[in-house]
Amino acid sequence: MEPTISTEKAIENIAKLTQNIERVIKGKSEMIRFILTALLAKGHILIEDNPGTGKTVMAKTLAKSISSATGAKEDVAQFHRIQFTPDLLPMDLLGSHIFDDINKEFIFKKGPLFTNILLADEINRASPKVQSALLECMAENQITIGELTHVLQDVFFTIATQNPVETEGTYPLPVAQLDRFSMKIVFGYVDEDTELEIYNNYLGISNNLESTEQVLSMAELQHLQAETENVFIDEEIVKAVRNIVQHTRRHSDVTLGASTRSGISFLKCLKAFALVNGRTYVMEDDIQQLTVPVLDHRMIYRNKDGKSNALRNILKTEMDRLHKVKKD
Amino acid sequence: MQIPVLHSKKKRNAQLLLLALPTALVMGYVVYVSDKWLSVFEQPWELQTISFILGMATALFVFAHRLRFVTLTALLLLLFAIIKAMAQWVQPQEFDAFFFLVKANNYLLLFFVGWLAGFGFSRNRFFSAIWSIFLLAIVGLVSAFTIEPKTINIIGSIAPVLLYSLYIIYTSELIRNMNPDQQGFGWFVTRRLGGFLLAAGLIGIAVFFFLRSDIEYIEKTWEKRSQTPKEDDRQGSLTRNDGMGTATNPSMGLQGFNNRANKDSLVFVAKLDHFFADGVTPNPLYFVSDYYTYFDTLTQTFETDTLRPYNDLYQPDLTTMPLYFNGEDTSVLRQTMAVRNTITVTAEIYKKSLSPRYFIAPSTAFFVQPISVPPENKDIYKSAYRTKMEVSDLNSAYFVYNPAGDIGLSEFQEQRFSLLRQVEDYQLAPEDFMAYYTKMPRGTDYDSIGLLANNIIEKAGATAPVDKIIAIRDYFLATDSMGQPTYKYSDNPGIPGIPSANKLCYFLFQNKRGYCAYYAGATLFLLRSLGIPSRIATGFLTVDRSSKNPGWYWFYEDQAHAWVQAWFPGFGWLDFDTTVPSTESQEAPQPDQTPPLTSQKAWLVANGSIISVDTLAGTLRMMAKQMLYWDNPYELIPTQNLPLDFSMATILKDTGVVDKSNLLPGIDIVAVSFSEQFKNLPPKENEPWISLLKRMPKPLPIDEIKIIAPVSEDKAQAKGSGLAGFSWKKAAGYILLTLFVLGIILLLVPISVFSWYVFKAKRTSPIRQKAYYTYMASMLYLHQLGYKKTDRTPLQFAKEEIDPRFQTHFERFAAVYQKIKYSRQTLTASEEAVIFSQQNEFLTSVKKQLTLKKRFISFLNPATTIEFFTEPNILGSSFQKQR
Repeated sequence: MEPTISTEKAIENIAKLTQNIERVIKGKSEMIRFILTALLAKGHILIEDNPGTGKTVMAKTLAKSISSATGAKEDVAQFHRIQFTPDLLPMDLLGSHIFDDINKEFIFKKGPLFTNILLADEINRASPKVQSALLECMAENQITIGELTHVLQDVFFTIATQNPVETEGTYPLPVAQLDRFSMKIVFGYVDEDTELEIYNNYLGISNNLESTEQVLSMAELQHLQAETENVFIDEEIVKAVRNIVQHTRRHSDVTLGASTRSGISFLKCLKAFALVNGRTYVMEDDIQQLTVPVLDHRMIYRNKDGKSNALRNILKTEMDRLHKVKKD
Repeated sequence: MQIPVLHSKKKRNAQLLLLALPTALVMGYVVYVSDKWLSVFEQPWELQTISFILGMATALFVFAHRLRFVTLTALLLLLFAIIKAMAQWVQPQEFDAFFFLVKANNYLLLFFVGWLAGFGFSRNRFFSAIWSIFLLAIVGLVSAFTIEPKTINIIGSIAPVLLYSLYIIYTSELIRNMNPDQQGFGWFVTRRLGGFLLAAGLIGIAVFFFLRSDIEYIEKTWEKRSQTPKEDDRQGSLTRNDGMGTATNPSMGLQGFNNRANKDSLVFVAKLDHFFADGVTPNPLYFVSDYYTYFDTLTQTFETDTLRPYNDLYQPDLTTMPLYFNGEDTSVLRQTMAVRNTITVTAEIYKKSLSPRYFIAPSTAFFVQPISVPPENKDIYKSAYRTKMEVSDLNSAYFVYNPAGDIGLSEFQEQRFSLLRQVEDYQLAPEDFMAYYTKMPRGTDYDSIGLLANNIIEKAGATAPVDKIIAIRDYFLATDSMGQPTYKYSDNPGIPGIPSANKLCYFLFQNKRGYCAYYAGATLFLLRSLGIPSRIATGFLTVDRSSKNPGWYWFYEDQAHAWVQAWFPGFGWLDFDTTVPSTESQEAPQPDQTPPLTSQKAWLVANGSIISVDTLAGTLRMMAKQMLYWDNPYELIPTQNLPLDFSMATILKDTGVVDKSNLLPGIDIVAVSFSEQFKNLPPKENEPWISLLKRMPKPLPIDEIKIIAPVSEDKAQAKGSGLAGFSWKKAAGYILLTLFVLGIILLLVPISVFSWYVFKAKRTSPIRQKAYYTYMASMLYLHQLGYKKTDRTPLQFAKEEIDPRFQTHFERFAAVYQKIKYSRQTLTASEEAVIFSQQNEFLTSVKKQLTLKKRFISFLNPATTIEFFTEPNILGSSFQKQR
């Protein structure tokens, strides 16, 4: 399958978007690619790290790159941010019925969930019922309150952040709910040089976040998501995904392996990741880079040793097989 | 309660089918061959194998569950103990607890071995190796004792277990690593095993095909060697190779028959010139091969004393003696201290399956002369000798026989006993002689024997030594109130071998059944406790069955015997046999056969070495050292050069007839002539040998030449590795050559695989496959040189390691390869160019940057190549403890 005009346009757009974000978020190009991958795969992403590593800025920049004051209303991505706390209630998210004094009736006041890009900050601080309400919406893309069903936006992308589970005052997300996230990435601190650059940036030489411009319209974003479906994925790659997923269920250090849903999610992400990297076909490197972000959070390990090694060993085995495969 | 399962059903079935079944088969084989050797295994081997299988199957089932080994085994042993206690508790009156126990022990032992095997296969990774070594050791030991040392036999006996060992180690590992969820495991295993068997078969065929001539050669050398046995293998197993196939060891009487003695197997024939006063009735004598004089308290067994004090046993080595030359040792006669009633008797012995070097004769022999077997009988009898002995005229097989109701025999014996009653005590006997032959160990066991002896003679009221002996004999012959004999003859009293002290006590006081060695051993203790000097003699029991050929006796394997000799001052050693007659068919039913023709008279015998041979004319010249003429010996000093005519002669080597080409200058021979010419040429009184030789016809007509193996060569062979050095060198050479070739092949593996990829990359035209071969060639090359991809993708590998290291464009190629491999897009011209140029550009660039030495050494390591093609273990490391 030869790349078409629209594919080339898509690759161009994605490159533009990446560059735009990279101007603000320094030294995180890999993470940016992962987030865009989750966006293009119509999934959601969970970022796990300590406070202050740039998670929120990341989300904001992404939102701003798609939305702006200029442009038509429906072409602008809405961005909401919710700070999760233990006393947050589901209706704080979903919205509630409020009595309209003028019309003498209850009207539905939409909550912050009705948006395009949602930053759910510190998701593991909220109580389980709030978490489940959010995750329900993420899966179904709609909200049902009473008799009414409210459909969310076509483009609904959640960037959830959570502090490492060990931190006090958290409600760890169960694996069943973690499964709803396409990927989980660990942001991590930046290196020395990048950190200096960030400080200089803060000191006012130029505030990049403020000056971020919209580079993509919502239509273009939706086109990108549609284009992702057209990325070519070879039979051998599909087999490799199958093998990896199956291996996780058999490995002696893994108590809960990856589900079939995660396999499908894996394939979607692979396609998106290829596009993000400017390709119209999936190759070995994509599997190598995505296996851990896509599968790791969906599995339960027997011990620490398993957590740090099992998936890597499975991946290594499969990659070693894959690179020697002869195709006719 | 549900016991957690450790192995899945599939795995357990695989264990049963692939491990337990072959193990059971091989164990059956091992038990079967052990039966040939060890008489402990006297039960049917099928039942024993079943016992083993039961043990193994139980263990495999039990240990497939999460159960403890120590606890269960302790319980099992407790069960065994209870079974045995029960058996002892149910008393042995009509239920023979002892026999039951021997059997039970045997089956329980095999069950337990099976239990251990099952546990090992189920749980222990290295068990298969230990188990293989164990079985190989058993089979090796058993074959060492039972089979003839022929290559084919050795291979035949070891090969099944060896093959099994390889199989079991391989298969147990296969099963250990099996994944129960894997589909088509059966087919996978079948394929693997099929390949394994094919490889084993091919190796086997190859060994036979390529090494056949060498095997034959080694076998020949082996045979030659074993025909001249060394000095120290006199004692040994019951049957062993003695040069002419299996030969009977005459000490077997003491070891017990154990149903193995072949009634129909003739051992030797003897003509004994010993008759009663009437000169017609033959008077048979027992044939002695050795004496057991010493009881070793440490091992609790009878032994032949290595020091042999008061030695009266004549032991010439017949193979080193030239034909017709005499050997004599009269010192043995002095040691017997026999002065009364002695006569000199001659005998001729024709050996069939007795070792050619072996000497056997009635006591007390002092003279031997090897003679040639008449040509008509050469196919049956391998060698022969004439012997003389001084025997007491009191000694007779009839005299030592149990009369067992025969009145004539009793009377005959009574006459002789009366003569012996003159001996009242041993006061005149030498003190140290008495001390040696009445030596008796101390201990409760022996004291109880002494007590029994005193009871016996008190009851009989015997005072003279001979009466005491008769009382003991009668004790063994006594019957109980029911008329049943108290002591019975049994070939199989449960415990085989030379009876030890506690076995003898068990025999005397409880079991009361045994074979000759039991009676001899028990009698010896009884006699010695009474102060009568005595010893055990082993050899052959003589049975007079022939009226046609008086004086000729036939000795079959089941006539091997052990009995007691007691010493009487003046009379010397006399045979006494206390063995009770067998109620079963102990009498040998075989008829006596036609005796061999009497040897011709050898008029001339010359001994010396060959100087020259003319095979065509049939003449040779020998340097003679000694000569026998009309039985008169002549020492030829200086040695004489004699011409011989051997055109009509038979050439003998060892005991077989060989070709004339075996006569070579330098070897030692004995030339024998039966020619009538010499008969008419009697030597004159005191005629010197010089004048005798002058009168003889030239060349001397010779009828038989015996080649004597040169002693020096023999010693050299003994010093060497046991076989002729040449064949070992050749074998070692082949092994080295094979190893060398294998090594070269191994070393060439990396470069061959690499070259193959390069070749394919050049020759293949579809771009996709060309890219594949080019990629594999590059990756293998880098891997071989130590640049390993590890857990990176090819692109990462190229970008992070190879390109920075070699300043190449490997990443570009890797990217194009990924594209061609995983997308359906056609390549651009420049991308195609990347693939075409990769081979030369990249490899030459890498080559330039590495020294030849490094490349050469790296490419000699096949392990790296194997590593390249090995899939990493999903569990990370190669070994992970199984939970």
